[in-house]
Amino acid sequence: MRAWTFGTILMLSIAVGGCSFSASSASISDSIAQSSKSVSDSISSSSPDGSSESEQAYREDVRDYTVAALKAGREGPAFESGLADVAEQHGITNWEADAATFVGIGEGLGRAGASPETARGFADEMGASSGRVPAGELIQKGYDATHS
Amino acid sequence: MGRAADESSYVDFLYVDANEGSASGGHVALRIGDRTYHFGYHEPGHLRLDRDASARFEHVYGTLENRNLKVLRIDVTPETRDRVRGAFNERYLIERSEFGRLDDFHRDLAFAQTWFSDVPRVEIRGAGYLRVRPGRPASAALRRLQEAIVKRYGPGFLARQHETAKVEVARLPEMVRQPVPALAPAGAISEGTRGLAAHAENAKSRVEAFGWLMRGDAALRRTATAHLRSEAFPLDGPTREALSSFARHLEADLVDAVASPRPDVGYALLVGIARLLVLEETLETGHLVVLDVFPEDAARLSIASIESQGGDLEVMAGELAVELEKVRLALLRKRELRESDYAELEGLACRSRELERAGTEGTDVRAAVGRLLPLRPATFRLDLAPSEALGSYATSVRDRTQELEARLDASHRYNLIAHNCVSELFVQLSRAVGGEPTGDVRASIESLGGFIEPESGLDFIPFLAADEVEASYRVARIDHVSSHRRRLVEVLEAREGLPATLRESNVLTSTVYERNDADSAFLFFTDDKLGLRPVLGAANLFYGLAAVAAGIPLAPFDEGASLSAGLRGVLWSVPELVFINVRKGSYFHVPRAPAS
Repeated sequence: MRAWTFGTILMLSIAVGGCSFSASSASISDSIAQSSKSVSDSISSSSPDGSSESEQAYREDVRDYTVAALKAGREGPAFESGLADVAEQHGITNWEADAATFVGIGEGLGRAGASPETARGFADEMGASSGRVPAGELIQKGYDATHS
Repeated sequence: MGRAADESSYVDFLYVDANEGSASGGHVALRIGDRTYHFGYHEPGHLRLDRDASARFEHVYGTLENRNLKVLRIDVTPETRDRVRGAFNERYLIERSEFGRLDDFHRDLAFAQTWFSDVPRVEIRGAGYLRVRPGRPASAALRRLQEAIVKRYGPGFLARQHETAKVEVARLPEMVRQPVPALAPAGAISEGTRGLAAHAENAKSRVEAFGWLMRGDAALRRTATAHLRSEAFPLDGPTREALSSFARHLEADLVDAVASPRPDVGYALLVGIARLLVLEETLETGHLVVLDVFPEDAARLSIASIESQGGDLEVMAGELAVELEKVRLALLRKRELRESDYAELEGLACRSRELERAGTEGTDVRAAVGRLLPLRPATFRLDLAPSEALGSYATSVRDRTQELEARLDASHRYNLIAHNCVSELFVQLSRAVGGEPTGDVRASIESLGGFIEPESGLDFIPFLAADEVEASYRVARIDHVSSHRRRLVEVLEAREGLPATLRESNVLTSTVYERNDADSAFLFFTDDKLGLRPVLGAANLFYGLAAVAAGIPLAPFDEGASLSAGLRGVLWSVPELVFINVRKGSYFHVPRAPAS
């Protein structure tokens, strides 16, 4: 039976293409289902520190982006350009005004094994131009939380 | 079987059963908490890592596509889980940056082409929401913003920023005289410099944004906003206060942003100005007004087409109305709204308004998967003299484009056997736990309980890969999740017995399945009828042949839809003759949760 199953599925897979097509084509149902029962959950606080699912997801992406960017030696405007793309994927146009951005950068620095001097350099540089959000402090906070 | 698995000490290998459509041979994915990673086919023939919210993945594959899921829970340490998730996430971000770089090159070439033709044009994201306010006093919200900027930075600041941005535009010809940077090494995050077109957009968007801020004469384009009825989003006292508070924070953030050195701040300013205006209108009129965030190329479905596939506009609108109210209440519980919270509200409000409008005005319904972003662009002409260096610049960009295309083609080219959703998942998993794509046996055994050599044997076939995972890794538990239809039928059978079995066995009398145009022509469900499968398959085969015969004369009138359904019906009936089921039917729309 398994040989038959294997043979047939292989044949049919070859005939029509095997892997899942990326779901970028718009299905109205998926479009609705994505909103239904998910937006309110993502906005609501879901962690002990009071951050929401969407905030945690954004912070995680910033953290992992920072790790990848440091490996590739991206700093300054090159780093910020990629950061803007990550933020946009989370519906954030003004990443400088979101505290999670800087905590995520700090966590990424810690995870990438950056030295305290490098972390301080990031904190000083990004903190210098920050406004309402204390960027430097938040980077240091994220770094201290992950750096061991 | 190892320790008790809590949320932080397992990863789930998902096997998705076969069905007609894409992934007809099945599919595999790795679920790590609220995110599911899987490799999918992307045009033009690339295999790329996709990332979905786990709830969405299960809804799409298990419910809408009506497939059975087999969940193999692999017992791992919290450190391994964290490492695997981080590695998949990093790869996802790197791939996005690599393909994003390719898009940038294409935009550069298109921009250079307009420059060659003496009318350099650039599309500015977010600029399509604004127009000049005709003969009326400036918006009070914009006046307040202007005053706050003057108070912080002094008079003349905006004019200076405006001039600086204009100089940036005028210096674009210098950029084409510089060499195009070399590509980042393969597998590294892209080099970060976004190219000529992005540079032009950034500079011009700052010119526009500072221009609007200086003059204070911006108004909203009526066609770029969505207005909700007050019943759909009641603006009671606390809701008004929450939105007022967000507007105040937005204003403060814009005051900070005007002095930001980041090159792409123009887009944030344009969207921020437009949002200040919709918030002002919301608070003045008592009706929620948001930016229309549907992309310009959103798919449009007619009501007739939705209904012919079993969709019910009223039910779908009701679903979104319930969610909108839940979001309103969730926002009230927040101490401070983040931009992304407001963006979620914006997107949901637009989707909800879209269905409501279709219901009342009979318009087509726009649909877009994923997060909706405030991108509404406007095109601007740039005053640039012809540049002699443009030709060689375009040649360099074309060379880089070809180089990157060749590289991406080599690393991402889809191959049904050698490089598919299964083989690449194992490669990435090996890399995540051991750092080597070819597989670090020891690290894999330590981390996952066993080792599966990527790209070997018959493991490229999804169900055999699931067997291999079960045999090799430290699988603590296996869950079988029935397809949506089977779950519903099982409930009915438990309640009614044989009559339910008979009634639900075919598409004509089933109460839990409505004919979906995306499915092939068939009569009997065979996924839960192993013994009768060849007999029912034969009936399906004849039904498919009959649909083909009927579809031939109908082809000129229905664009070949009936003929195609008949041919596919024949194709998917053949395996049923030898006891094999692939086709299971699918659903156009199923609510994620019943509307209450």
